[in-house]
Amino acid sequence: MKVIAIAMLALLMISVSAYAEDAVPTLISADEPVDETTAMQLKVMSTSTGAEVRLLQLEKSIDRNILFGEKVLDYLAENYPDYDTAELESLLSELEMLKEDVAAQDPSATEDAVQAFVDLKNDARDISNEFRTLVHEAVDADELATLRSNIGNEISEQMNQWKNQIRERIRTHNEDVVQKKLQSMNRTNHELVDKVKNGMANATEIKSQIRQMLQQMTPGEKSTAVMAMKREMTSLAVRTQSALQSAEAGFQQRLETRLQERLENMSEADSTMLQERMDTLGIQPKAGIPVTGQTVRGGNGR
Amino acid sequence: MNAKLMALTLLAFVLVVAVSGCTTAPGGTTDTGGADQQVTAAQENEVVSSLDSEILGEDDEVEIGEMV
Repeated sequence: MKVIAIAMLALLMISVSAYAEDAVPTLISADEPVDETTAMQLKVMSTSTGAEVRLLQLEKSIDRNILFGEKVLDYLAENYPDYDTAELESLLSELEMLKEDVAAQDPSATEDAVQAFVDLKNDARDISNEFRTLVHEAVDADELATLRSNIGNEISEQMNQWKNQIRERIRTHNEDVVQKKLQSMNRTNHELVDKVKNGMANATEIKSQIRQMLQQMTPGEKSTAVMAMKREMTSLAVRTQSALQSAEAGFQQRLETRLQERLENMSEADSTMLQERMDTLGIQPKAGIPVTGQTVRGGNGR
Repeated sequence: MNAKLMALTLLAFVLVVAVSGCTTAPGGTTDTGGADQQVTAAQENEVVSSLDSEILGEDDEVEIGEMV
């Protein structure tokens, strides 16, 4: 009988610990269009400040590439006067539209912001890749290395302005995260919050202070705090998972709609590369949209 | 006596399972009440480490590839 009683007690303990184990779901495997890096980036987008940071970072990267693209076109005009830059101009024009699209997003509508982030980041990557491929076909690698370095120096001031703007939003985001953790712990720590607000505490220091605070708690307080933090983690994971699934679900349909709309808003001359990409993707332009004849690739050095 | 012990243990088991079931929050999370739970080092690490993906570094970037 004692054995049965002990067995029942063991069963009881296993049952309780199973309930207490974390209920944090793992993210689904991140296949394209949401690769591993993008999936990681989405984790902060469940709050409007986090979404705002990601959209600003994307806008900054697109702006950087536009500035690079413009400088490349100037360089080609000066050093390769016979080179036909129509395709590069077409890609640049598309990047400019993308930048406007990113800037127009509302970060407070977080699920829409996640979709837009995934979509527009993929577009920006594709367009930049096409631009780079064309430039590499036309200009020697050593010459490009010098050009890359020179352009980097020329646009450093604009990039610093972006950096300052984004840094301020990152600090606000980090402050929000820390405040939420402290709330879950039922504690305040003005010194830590001020440091985060002023960018004086990185993730390592924040973790160290949070751990220290947990270790100073009574077992009961600590348990309550850890359970509350785990609930937050679960909620965040569920929201991220949901946004990620929704971004993946309609990706192809949204891509078609987006490219059609972009084509409608572009001049015929600027739409060469977009039409080529739509062809590759098997997307037919809607009736009434002027389509250029067969895309002519070529020019000096190609 | 032994039978009483077994009956009491069974009753405790049923009560704990029933209470645990009742405190399961929407979305599958479990509110254990907390106060009588012992926090393991692994659980503490898990909640502290979650900050790694939530706190952003000031040099954090969204890469879209180079143009040149």
